[in-house]
Amino acid sequence: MTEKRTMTLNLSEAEMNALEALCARKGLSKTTLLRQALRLYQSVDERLERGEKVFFEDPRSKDKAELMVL
Amino acid sequence: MKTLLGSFDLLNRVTERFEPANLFEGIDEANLLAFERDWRPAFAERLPADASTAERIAANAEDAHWDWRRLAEIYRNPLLFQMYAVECGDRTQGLMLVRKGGRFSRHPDHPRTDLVYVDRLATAPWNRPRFAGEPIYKGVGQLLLATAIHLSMDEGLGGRIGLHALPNAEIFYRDVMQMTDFGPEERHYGLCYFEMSSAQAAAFLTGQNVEGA
Repeated sequence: MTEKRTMTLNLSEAEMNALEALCARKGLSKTTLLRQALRLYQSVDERLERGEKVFFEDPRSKDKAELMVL
Repeated sequence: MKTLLGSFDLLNRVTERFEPANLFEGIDEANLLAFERDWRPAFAERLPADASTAERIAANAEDAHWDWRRLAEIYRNPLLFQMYAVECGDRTQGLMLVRKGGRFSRHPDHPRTDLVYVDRLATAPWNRPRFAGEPIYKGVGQLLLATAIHLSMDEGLGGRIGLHALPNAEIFYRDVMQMTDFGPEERHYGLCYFEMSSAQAAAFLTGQNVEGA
């Protein structure tokens, strides 16, 4: 198994509230949620680096909205 | 990097004896060469290069066109992907590629929660009923899927796994693994999507079945 390293994370109250709400809704620990978020962010970033665009599609109207990444 | 996760028994159907198999996280050049020198010729001997989908299904070799070397090149990001190999009797008996993020559950127990997605799973051609006259090792697929469930647990994802099944494997996922069948999906070549919920994963690991699978 991959060796794990520990870090301290400083979040504002609003950020911590958002993290805890997401964890509760998804049934994930903070570590797991942040790890999954990192994977998703890296995956999106790789596609953008290749010049691709990432869209959300409305299942009914089929309207597409481009995902804006900071 | 290839790391030995442990040794597990596989049933040799020919000798009717159990043999120790090594399970590895990560694959190496030896596994890719085994695929190219052992698996591919076995497929080629049984199926013409231009075999139709129906012929591949009939031969239990729908994955004969998969190129594991190419897959290893494309899906090499260790943050997102992981490959596994099963070796027994000095041969590669099974390979699996999983995705650790960006896929979400459709199971009513926990909709939209993260899961481990089994992108590819294959047992060596000589282990397959209907492909080999006398299939050899039994349990390779089950060992690899159990590995995906354990990975899901280690990642904090509750043992949840999802996959799209090739037609010949549907019975295995539905009846043996007791996964929930969500039916065919047009955007995945009509393949049926299967999922193992957290409860089903726990039941599988303790050897129990869950109603409604």
